[in-house]
Amino acid sequence: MSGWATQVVSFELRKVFTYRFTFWVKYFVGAITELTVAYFLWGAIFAATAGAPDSAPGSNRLGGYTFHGLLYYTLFATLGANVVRTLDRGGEISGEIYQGTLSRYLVYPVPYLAYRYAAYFGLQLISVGQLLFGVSVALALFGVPADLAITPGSIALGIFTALLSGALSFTLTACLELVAFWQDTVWNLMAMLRFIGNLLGGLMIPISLFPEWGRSFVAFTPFPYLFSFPIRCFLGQVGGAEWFREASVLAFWILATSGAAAFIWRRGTRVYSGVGI
Amino acid sequence: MRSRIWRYVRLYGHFLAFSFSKGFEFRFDFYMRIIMDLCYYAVAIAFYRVLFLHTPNLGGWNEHQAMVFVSAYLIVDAINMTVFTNNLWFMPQLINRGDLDYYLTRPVSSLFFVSLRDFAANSFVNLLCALGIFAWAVARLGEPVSFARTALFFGLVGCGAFIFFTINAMANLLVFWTHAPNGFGELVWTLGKFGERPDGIYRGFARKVLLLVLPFGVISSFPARILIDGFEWRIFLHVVGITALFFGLLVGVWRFGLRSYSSASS
Repeated sequence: MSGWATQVVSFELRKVFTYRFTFWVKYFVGAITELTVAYFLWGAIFAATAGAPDSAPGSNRLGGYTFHGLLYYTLFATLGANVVRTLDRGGEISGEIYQGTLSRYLVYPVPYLAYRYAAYFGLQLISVGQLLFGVSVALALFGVPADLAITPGSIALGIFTALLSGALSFTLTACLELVAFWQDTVWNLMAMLRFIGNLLGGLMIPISLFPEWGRSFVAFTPFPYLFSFPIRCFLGQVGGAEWFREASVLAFWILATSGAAAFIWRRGTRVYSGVGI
Repeated sequence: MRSRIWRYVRLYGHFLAFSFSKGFEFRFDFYMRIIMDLCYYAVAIAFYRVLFLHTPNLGGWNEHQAMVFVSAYLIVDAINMTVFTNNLWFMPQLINRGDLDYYLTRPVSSLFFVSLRDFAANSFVNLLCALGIFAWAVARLGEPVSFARTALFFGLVGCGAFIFFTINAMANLLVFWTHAPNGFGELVWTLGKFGERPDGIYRGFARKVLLLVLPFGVISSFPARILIDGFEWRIFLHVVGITALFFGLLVGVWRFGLRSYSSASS
């Protein structure tokens, strides 16, 4: 990593830990809320479907998951999504365009989007630490369910995949944020991406629960590669050959969205007018 | 007393006029915010449609009944987005930067002013969409619903929206003491997920907490219960009682917080 990128990552780490209390409160409240809701939601569904044909009676599975499997799915979805999306809610790039503070970066000897990605990567590293802490606690308390193959190797693969998915999340969001060169507000575009990504990416509910046509549809979008793919890696559901196949598709989406972001950036900087440096 | 109320009504009228003119000034934002909320509604409905592919009921409700509940929480969300959210978004900044001074010197309730001055005109359109989803959900129920039950439902949904606002406002007011840059409103949206699922799924201690301490289980589920199962004094009094209690708490926290407010000039 270049010297400047290391500095940016280190700066982001220090910035987050300035408000340690807020940082940890958000982490614990977020994780505990998601897990508690999932516990009661899936518990109610498993109780209601006992013996129903759709729930595969006898196997006690829903979309291929047992009750405990779905709780682990939620755990990795919640903590893995923080690695993919980071703690940043977006708005940094568009904010700098609106406020004119982008001007100072234009004269720096560092590509602006690369600088932003380095900051994003710093936040991703913090989320990896949070994930390892949360997963260690869960595994120590509840163990590994029989239907899942969670191992140190699967967790390492999951982290690596989530970091790659983070690159896709960054470039997708950057494409929308750069619209700020032409429009007054873009936060609603990012919120839309978040809502749609949550559902179609398998963050709210495993994609295996979707109807057949829904599964076929999402396969043609980048969303499953944002969340579902890394979550399945964490759970030990993705083998070597399958990982390379899916990672190739993820790489394609990263390249396509980076190309789009670079194109929008070039067009946008032509119409940008900032005051002062 | 009457002139005092009239003064507040006229003041709110000015807030509305200003907010609508501001809303139409940013056309792109106006229309995109409508589309954004429609995405949120579509995702909420799709989520429950997928769940009901795998279960005949959830928390004691079948799919049609659960959709009434979904419409209730979408209306609660739309009311909050329209009336309160923009104001709460800026509350931590007002407190941290000392900009609250401007509101404290006005001859009206400062809490009223900072909570209601910005009305999101574009979200108002979405409130109409949420009402449309409610009409669709009721039509699918397959049984007639009386006017009185519907009116009561909307009254209690209004209480639910107000309860959510009071919790959100109190979380934001913690910046009086913590000075966190963005407050804790984000945490309330996280906790709000409890309210996006029917209260019938919660059991034991968690249920008690969600009905009494952090009453997210009351906000949308109880109005839906009144509409689906008919009037029950217990449910009605519970919602009204929690609304009054949390309003009192908010006023108390606001006054207590102002004592710790250092203002811009200090």
